Amino acid sequence: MKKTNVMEQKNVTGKLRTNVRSPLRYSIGFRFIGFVMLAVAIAGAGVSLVVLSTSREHLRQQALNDNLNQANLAAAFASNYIEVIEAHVEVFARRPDVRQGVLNGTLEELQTTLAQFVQIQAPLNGVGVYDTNGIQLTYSLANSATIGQSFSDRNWFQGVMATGKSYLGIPILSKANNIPVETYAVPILDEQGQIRAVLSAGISLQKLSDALVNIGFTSDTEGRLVDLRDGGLIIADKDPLLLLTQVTGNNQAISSLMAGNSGSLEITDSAGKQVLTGFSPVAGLPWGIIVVTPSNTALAIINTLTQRASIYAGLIVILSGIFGVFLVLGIIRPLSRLVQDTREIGNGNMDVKLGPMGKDEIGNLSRSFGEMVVKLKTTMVSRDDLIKEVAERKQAEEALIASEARYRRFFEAARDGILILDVETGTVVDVNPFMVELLGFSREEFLNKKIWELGFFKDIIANQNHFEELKRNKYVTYENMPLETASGQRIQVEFVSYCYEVGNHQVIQCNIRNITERKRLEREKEKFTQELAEKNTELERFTYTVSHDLKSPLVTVKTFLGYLKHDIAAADPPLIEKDMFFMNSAADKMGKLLEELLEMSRVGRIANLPVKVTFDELVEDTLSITAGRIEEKGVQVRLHKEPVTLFGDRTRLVEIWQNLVENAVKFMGDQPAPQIDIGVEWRENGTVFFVRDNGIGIEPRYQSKLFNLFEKINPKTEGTGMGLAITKRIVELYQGKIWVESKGPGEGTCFFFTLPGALKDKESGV
Amino acid sequence: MKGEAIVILVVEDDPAHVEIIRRNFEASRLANRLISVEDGQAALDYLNRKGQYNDETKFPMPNLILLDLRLPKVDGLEVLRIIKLDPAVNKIPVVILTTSAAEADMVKAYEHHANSFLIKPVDFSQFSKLMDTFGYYWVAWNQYPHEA
Repeated sequence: MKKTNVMEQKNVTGKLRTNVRSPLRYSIGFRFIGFVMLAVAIAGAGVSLVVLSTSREHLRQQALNDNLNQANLAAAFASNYIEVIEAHVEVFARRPDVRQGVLNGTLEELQTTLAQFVQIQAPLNGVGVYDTNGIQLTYSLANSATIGQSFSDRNWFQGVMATGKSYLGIPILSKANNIPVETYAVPILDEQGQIRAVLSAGISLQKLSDALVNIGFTSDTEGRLVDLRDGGLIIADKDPLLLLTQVTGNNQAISSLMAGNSGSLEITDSAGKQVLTGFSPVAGLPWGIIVVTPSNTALAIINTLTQRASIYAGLIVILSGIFGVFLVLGIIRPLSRLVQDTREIGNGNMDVKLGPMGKDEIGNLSRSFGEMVVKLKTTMVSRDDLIKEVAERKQAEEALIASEARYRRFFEAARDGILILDVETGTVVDVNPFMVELLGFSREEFLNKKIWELGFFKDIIANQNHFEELKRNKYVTYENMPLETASGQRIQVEFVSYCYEVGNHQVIQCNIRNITERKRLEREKEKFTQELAEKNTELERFTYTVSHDLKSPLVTVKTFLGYLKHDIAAADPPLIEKDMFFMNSAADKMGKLLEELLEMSRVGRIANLPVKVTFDELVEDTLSITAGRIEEKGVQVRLHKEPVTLFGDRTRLVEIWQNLVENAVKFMGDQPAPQIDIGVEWRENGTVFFVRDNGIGIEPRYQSKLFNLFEKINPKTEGTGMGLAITKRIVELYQGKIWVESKGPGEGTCFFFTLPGALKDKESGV
Repeated sequence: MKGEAIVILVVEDDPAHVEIIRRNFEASRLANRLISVEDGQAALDYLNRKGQYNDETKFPMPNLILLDLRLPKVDGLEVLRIIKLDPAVNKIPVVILTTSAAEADMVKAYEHHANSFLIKPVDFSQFSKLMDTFGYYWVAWNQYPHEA
């Protein structure tokens, strides 16, 4: 058995080994060799480019030197060429026949001489003689149209006249054949050395030009002759269009030439092309030679070579780059994937699927790593579960503590009294601070007592039976229950009990809310609402009554006015009198109504300063005012004196009793022993004043209308029906009430009223 | 009904207004009889033939009632309500004639089954015209049940 085990072990190891060894083409070493080869290729390309660049410079210098040599050569040639012709012209101008011809003015002979000279000297275009004013005297061409014309503005003429010596003019283009012509002017002197005339010879530069422009080894090399005066004028060039044009551009070669230097330079010509130049001044003349070869032509071979070499080098670099990227990615990719996977696993994600594995060293590393992860994972799972469970337990515990704190605070801060009872025993388990405050009993007085033993709950839970009921019903509410507090105060409460389970234990929670204040406010609100409704009705009735009762007499007046007109026209005196009567009484009625309305509005609006006055004083005032009427009817007034002191507007207060006494006198009827009693009754809800008579009385069904404005129970009685309305108004100003009691007709009447506002101790006025 | 006098009960506390109504009816020479009472209680007593009103020849049942709203003792609207609730008299047309132009009064009057609602004009000629028209309509043209 043991042996077999060893064998298996070996097998496993062997298998692992074959995995580790990877074929040559996948190994990192092989890739490294690839890198070295690439580097050699790139270096080779670089070296060949450097060599080419050096060769190019060398070739360029060679071309520049060649051009300089050419320029020197051409300059020497040009110098000789012109000097020879100049010498011929000098000699000719000094010939005796020429001088004599000029001095003697034998111009025809001179012309012949000139023509012969031109024929002999092939480069000459023509020769002319001019007087000191520049007028052409004669010319080598017979009968030339230019004879007699002035040439005084020509630079060669001016040059000779100014210096008294020979002068080489600035070349011009010959009008005849469009070739550049150089004028060489020579003075003709007399014996005294005075200038007598000027001889000018036009030298064709064609030949010189032909010789110069084709100078050089290559067809692209060309020579150019430049007159250096006035900034440089091209006088010989391959391109006829450039002839006698100004040298343009910042031409360093020309600048150098003008300074009398010879040399070679690579410059940019006016067309923007790179050119290689060699330049040299022409000895004895204000001229210079420039030999020009375009750089790209001179360096054509080397340029082509460089170009090709660059392309090959570029290709090598690009190919190496691509190959290199593949090689690097082959290593980086699996490595970075492995790094990423490791990080994932480090973060605790054991389920990471390891990326695709190559057959190289990295692939082997990944596989080994994968095996490690699998082993790690199995150990991690059990640990995770443990951590999770601990965390959950802790969370639940914290939630429980928070919940407990929340409900405890709610319990402590609630504005309802709360009791917690044990269901089994009915004992108080907990009581909140508000309950203690509400009832004034200490917490200890509640705790561990049975609910029905708490005396103050006797109206709600009088005995154990009631408690059993709470238990049965689970949820019970009683509204508006009376409770007595520790101080003996009776309050109204709302009682709510719930029965619920806590754990495996049943508890009952009782909430007690003090609704005394709410109930009081409700009652007050009801009272105010009713009062407001009453006031509204009264106001409505007042408006309606005023409009009706004031309009009514108006209708009478207007209508009878109509009748009056009619009756006057008909001359009917009895009717006229009747009409007048109705109108009069209507007008009187209106006047009285308005007066009393005014009085009514004054009540409450215009007030005298409140003073202290006794009940007895008020009644005395009243009786003195009403004395006349009382006597007239023979009424006996009995005053029941009482020690009551009032505080208010004395005149208004007197008016109450005055109206009531006058009313009593008015409705005394046929009473043989008329009598009025004035006094005070002490009732439970305050002091009540009364004025009682034994007159005609009033039917109960009319009693409610009595205090209405303009209300008259009997239309025949005098007055407007406002006396009692005003009385009521004054009573109400003192927050009082007035009512009438009468058993019916013939039974007498008693008016009662209260004046709480006038009985208050404080100095409240009206 | 033709030839028979139409009896109109005027319930009005202002003697001047009673006089105006009387004069207008006389002027239009319509065959009728005008009886007036001066408060709500008296009107109800009249219709119930109570007290002094138990003489049927002197105080016949009216064919039409002209009722003011502002009345002593029992208010006009209350009189109207009682009349219209009493099967013995509720077939008698009741025309409200008042100085009040209050909307609430009018609504209440119709709620209590008033047959017509008139407002006393302040202008003499308007009042005359109203009474003329009223007379022609209610006396000459309106038809009344025999058993009123």
